[in-house]
Amino acid sequence: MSSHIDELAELYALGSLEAGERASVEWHVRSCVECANRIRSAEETIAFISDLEESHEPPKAIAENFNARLATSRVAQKQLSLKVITGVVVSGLMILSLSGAMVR
Amino acid sequence: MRRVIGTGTLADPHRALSSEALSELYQDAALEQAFARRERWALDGVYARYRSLLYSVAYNVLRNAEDAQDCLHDALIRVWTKRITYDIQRGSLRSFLVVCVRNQAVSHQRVAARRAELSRRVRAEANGREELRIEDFVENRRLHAAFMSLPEEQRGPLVLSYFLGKTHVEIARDLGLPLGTAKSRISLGLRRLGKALKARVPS
Repeated sequence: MSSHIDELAELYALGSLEAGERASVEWHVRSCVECANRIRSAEETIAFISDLEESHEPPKAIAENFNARLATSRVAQKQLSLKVITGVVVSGLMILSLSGAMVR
Repeated sequence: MRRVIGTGTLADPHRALSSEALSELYQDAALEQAFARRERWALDGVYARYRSLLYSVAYNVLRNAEDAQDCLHDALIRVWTKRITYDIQRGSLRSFLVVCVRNQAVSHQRVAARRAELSRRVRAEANGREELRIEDFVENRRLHAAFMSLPEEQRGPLVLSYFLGKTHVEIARDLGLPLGTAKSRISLGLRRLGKALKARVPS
């Protein structure tokens, strides 16, 4: 196992790491409780700062808007997976018919 | 309007938990487990429970109701569709979501002008030209005092990271620091800020 992530824990929580570093931190904390706790502590500090900042009332329709957003994102995902499946089936059929033509 | 500090035990480590606070902690734990298992009701539960907090987090960065709402929804959907993974072992869901929404908000282009001004002030302080005044960016007095209590060499890098969402590579370049130095100053700054905030138990 690699050595601990040390100060990268705070940078991770702050979102100040480059993509590659983020991935290696995530990989490391899967098996290291000590470093996971250090990230947790940094995240709690950030949440605590947010608690001290001013609070604002969300717009009245925010929950409905969220459900609408969620529905469209799910529809988009389904459409995407449908497209992928259709693509796979179509290309499979094309390969079959091509190989059929070659045999003949 | 001031928010009551919720379930964060960090808020007041010396106070014995009331039965109300205890039941809140249990609710949080049940919600976290269900959310990690991706049970649909947990998403609604999380939304109902944290939307005011998370909306405020986004609003404080973006200063615009529509952008704040979009940012909150984008972040939640990213977490729910597993483009960002929540790992229950790693910590409280509440803090995790705050961090996700915040990181998303600071990278929003709407805050570009504020970012540029704050960035200018940090650089001016680093070059000894003026003292960084962050009161325009931090309204809360306690938070402001905690930021100003940091050594100057840690404050600048932490401000660039926390308020501007810059990476350590960008911060090192902005302030003319070696990478390792920038990293350790950001890290030390955040840990020291946490200690400074914890040291004063809220009245």
